[in-house]
Amino acid sequence: MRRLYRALLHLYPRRFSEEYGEELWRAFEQSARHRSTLGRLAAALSDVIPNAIAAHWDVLRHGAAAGTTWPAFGSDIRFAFRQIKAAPLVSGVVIAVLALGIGINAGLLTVLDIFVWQPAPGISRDASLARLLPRASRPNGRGEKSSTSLSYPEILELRERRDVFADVAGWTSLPLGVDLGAGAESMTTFFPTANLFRVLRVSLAAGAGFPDEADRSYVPSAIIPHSIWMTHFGGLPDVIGKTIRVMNQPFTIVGVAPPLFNGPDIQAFGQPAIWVPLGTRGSLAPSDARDVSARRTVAFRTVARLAPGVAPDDVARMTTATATRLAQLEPTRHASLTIDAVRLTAMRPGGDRTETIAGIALVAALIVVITCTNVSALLLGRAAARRREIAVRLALGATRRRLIRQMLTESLVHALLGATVALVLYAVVIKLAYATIPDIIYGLTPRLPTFLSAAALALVTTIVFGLAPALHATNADIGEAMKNSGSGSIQRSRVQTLFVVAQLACSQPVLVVTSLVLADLRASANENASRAPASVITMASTLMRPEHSAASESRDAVADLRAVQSIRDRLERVPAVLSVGLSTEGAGVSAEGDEGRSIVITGRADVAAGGGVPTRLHQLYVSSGYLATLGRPITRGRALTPDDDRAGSSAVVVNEAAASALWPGENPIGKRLSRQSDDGLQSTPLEVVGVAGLAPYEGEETEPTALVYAPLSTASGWWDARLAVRTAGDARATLPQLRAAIREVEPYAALGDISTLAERYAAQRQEAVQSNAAAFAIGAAALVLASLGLYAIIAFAVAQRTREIGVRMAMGASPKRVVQEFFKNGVRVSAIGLAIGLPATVIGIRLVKASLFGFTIHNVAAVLVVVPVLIAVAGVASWLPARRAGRVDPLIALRAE
Amino acid sequence: MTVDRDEVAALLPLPPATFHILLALLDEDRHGYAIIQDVEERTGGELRMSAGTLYRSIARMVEQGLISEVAKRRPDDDDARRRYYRLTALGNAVARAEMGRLSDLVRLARQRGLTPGTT
Repeated sequence: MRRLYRALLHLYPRRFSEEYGEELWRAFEQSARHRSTLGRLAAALSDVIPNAIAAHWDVLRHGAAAGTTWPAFGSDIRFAFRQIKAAPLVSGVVIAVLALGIGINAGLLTVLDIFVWQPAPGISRDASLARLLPRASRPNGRGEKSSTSLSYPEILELRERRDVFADVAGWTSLPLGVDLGAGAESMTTFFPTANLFRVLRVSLAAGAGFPDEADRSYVPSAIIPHSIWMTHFGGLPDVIGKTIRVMNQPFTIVGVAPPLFNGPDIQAFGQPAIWVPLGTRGSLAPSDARDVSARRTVAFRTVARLAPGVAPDDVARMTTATATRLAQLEPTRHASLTIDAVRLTAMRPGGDRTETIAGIALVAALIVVITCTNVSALLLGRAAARRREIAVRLALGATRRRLIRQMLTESLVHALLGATVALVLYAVVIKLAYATIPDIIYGLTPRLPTFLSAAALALVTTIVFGLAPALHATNADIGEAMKNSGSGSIQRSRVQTLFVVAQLACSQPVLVVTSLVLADLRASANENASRAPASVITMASTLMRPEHSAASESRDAVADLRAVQSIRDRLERVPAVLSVGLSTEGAGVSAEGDEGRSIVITGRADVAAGGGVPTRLHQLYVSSGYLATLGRPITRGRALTPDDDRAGSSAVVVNEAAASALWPGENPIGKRLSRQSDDGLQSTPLEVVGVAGLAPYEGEETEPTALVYAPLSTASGWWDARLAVRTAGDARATLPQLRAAIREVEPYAALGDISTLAERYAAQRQEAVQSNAAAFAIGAAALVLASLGLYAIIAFAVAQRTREIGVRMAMGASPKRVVQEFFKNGVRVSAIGLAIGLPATVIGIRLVKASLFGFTIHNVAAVLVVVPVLIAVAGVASWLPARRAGRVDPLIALRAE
Repeated sequence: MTVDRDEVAALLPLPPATFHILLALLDEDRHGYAIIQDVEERTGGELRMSAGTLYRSIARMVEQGLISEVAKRRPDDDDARRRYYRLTALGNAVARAEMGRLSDLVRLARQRGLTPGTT
């Protein structure tokens, strides 16, 4: 007992236990002598632990009063606060810079955390959950392996490897027509193995889910997403047992997924999806050439719960033999199969993910470096200003260690204050953002662990960076410092110059990349969007008859065209409908035609130059009335007429972009084009009959797409139609009648992507505003951070040389010349910093370039604005203090320090 | 020996443990365990100070000058290694001031008609 109690005494502050340890033990021994061993143990623990904590607290609060060797920590903290009060500006800047740095980093880490480290929403983090990443070489490939999926029999065989996997689940998906009671809509339909929810440990919000036999037999049951439960079934528990229709077959609802859950991949997030058993796939898509349970159908993505003690890295090695056997059974698809595994996270590993991580990590790291160079430079500057004070204290017998500890305490206090401000900012900003745009950042709740890691990172780096100024300042020759505080300025200014260079080198890439994103967003804004009419509604209509659900080759283009035309004819008889247009692609928003068909311009050898290489144009198959329904005017010639809807028409309408690209300065009406078939053997002559302009709500694009509108009757192959309906008044209100009319002629038409033009453009604008705001906030914060630090560092360095300026002026230099020299020097140092940062900027641009649409040199020019801003900040920062110093009487300047 | 009244006032109110230790040392010098025993006796077993609480208080009271360690051991002391503590003039004054403060409080409560034991 004595030994245990003595060991526990180490928990007390050292001097306290040295002083009173013996007495403590004696008093404890006597007061506890009547107790049992267990009772004494309990008494010892309950005596020492709370009192030791309290004693440490006493030390912090009262310092020397508690009588230990650590008394100074309390006084160090008080001293740090006094220093903050003495120089509120520098401290304020340090705290603001730290707060911004920590706040931005916490935000970036939150994003990384959600997309890269956490599993998809609704799935709790679990080390034993792994995503299987099978790779195989393609037949006749060059031995390179590429990622592949697994087949159902392969999943079953992997399940048998109990030593590796506790369980293995898979899923595949198809877009199918799902009717929740208001007409069929095209919806992603997942076919999971029955154990998927169990493997993920996702418990349903309601219902029991699929029985295990549902993998193999026809059990028409469905699990609906939580959002649909709320919107269509009022969140009531009686939803279980209700019927929905999938491809016009009745399915019983047996479960509701938990909120936000949308499968293990984040890619699908936001689109509603339902879950139906694997065994129903055959009947929902009977003509699908692939039998889903066949070994050759490698269509499943897979997750596994690993057996205890197995790490994801072990999976490839442990499954080598099984994979080899599976490869022999299916050599055409799975030659030399390897099954890798990684911890289950929301984003599937791949090119995109790597780039996202690299991009965010790069920005986060640069922000840490900017923050720390700022803080370090400011503290260094202040330490330099206190050289004389430090020298005095050293001379009076303070140890160097003591002084360094004091200065590190100062860094720590600054860092803690900065972190506190950042925490408040972070919580407020995220709460605000979450309240305004819940869809976009569904999971962006303030997560304390994320914030703490950002704050810890900043704390550690602040202390490490705080060490440099502390060492530097206390490493002074006492006599020299007391005698002449100016002599250290050359060395000091060299260190400060280094900080300025580092600062600029790091902030340039961050600023350039953020403003690049910003410029891109601005360029894509459409000024006319508010004029989009609410009276026009567009929707995708997919003919989803069970016999041809997914396999495109089995569909009959002529029958499909007839079906779509009968839908149009029926819609035109709905009372409120003014006109109906059909097209094969996005109704005016994503104006992309079928690139697979080429149009050859005849009689214009210079356009079809290069040995008759056809010029490819975007082509959209449209019905008569399509352009008028969307409000796109005919600026020349005529529109397509009902006559053109019949087979045999050769008339086409081109948009103005195509007209001016193909026949600049000429009248395009009557010009001839020819369309070649895929094999290039057949050629169909076409004649331009009209030119279409932009609708009033469409914005001028910087690089407009050249489009050819060809008659729907000339379309071949398989396609999905888009319907555009213009009604009298609000088209939304007419939607139920439109749905009913469509259902009447074509029960298998699944509608999707329904929105009026007004809604669509408003959503686009909203999205642009949000992305603009987000990019602007990050860009502005980074710019403020960089400018603040840059200004403070340079201004401080220049102000410190007041004495030197005084000497120069006393020796006859004109104030103007001194100011000029400082200004030039500041700009030169900035230029060096910017030049050093160039490689990182180029890497940054390359990283974002891939994800930016329509990246042009125009954007780059906009970005270069950042560089003069930084140079201007550096210039102003060197100019202002130098001017002030230059105005001072040399005598006063000489005494300034 | 005079005691600065401001110095006394700055230490009030006393933590209960400190007050009890002062009371224990009023009549004689005591060592740590004897203080624990005295407090326990006087309070009828209601307050049992742990060793840690006691010495944490003692450390602070020595720093504040309320008590001091007695250099000379009593002749009949059974264990010469034991450390004895004695009330200082300041400690005495502080104990009396705390008593005054507490009785003022009790008087105020009485005037309001509060009696112990009634709820």
